[in-house]
Amino acid sequence: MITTDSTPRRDPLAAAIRALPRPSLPAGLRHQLLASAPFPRPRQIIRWPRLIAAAVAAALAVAVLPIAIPSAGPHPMIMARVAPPSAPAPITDPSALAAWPVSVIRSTTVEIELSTPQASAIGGLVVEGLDARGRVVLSRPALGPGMAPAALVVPGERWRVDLGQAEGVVTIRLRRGSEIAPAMPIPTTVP
Amino acid sequence: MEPLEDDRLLAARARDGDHNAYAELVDRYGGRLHAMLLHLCAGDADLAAEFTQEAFVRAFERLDLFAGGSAFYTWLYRLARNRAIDLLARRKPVAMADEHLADIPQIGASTPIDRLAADEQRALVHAGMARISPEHREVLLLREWDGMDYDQIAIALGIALGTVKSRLNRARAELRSVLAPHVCAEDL
Repeated sequence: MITTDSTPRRDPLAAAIRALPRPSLPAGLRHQLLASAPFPRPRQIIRWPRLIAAAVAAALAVAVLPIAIPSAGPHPMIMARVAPPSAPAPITDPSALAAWPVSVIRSTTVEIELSTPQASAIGGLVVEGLDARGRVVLSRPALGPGMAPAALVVPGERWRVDLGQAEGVVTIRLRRGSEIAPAMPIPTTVP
Repeated sequence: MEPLEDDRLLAARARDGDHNAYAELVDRYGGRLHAMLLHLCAGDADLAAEFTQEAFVRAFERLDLFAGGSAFYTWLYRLARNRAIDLLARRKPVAMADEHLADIPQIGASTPIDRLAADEQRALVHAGMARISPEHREVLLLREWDGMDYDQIAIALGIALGTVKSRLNRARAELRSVLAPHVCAEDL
């Protein structure tokens, strides 16, 4: 029961509300308040040598590569066209594929296209992508042996591949059986 | 009365990226806001912390809009209360969660009997406050517990001065009716 005292009171209800506790700000919450303030991040230091190297690499890639078309939309799709730089010829040696230019723009999804008319000749070829930790993040075993060449690769066929949990620079390599063509690094990193 | 000019400067410095200025604003008003929201949320510490954090983030994002025409705390509270009231209004009245408020030392309770009476009184008022509507609880807390004057309450709630007075009257009436079965008439 709310008690009375000897001093005159105008409003005991108000006094009772005023007497409610006044806890201080918990330290953990204070820390959260300070940490959650959306201050702009400090500007990153531009490393010019890296920037120049990246620009040169990009310029070279553009000069060499056939096409690299990013698509619109929330999940940008990448064209990574793999094509012979010279007149098409039947491919028998995977190591010859090392000369094929590969380009991938920053994305989590890549699209690879074999555009050579002789693509159907490359039966038994496996396209693999390895990230910086050496994990296979892209694999097209559909090109493996045992499938009819006509069903293997249609000129202009594209594969859209989600790189998933890839980290760092992704390297594409072409393999037939145990033979592995020299790696072709994709000149970008996966975000 | 809060140092308006000082708050304006602090807000401007925080807006310009001064972490210390922002920390000063948190230290000045974080505890007051959190305690108020803790009472408003009937002792729900998680909810009060969430609303407090959200209010400060929203305030930071709107520091450009703080013109200093009102006290920083009034402006801050207004940012905090809309979502809180909206959410609380949809909940059923709950029993006061007292564990986060129980260990706060009470002033003026010098003897064991006084302390007992004070505890009893606090428990009754807590329970009663938890049972009245959030809007009524809020206006009573702002006026009696936080000590805002009618003008500040009007700004904080975004309502007219007359509405503040009428809402306060209704709030007191509701609390009295809730407490009536438990207290003497003279105490109301």
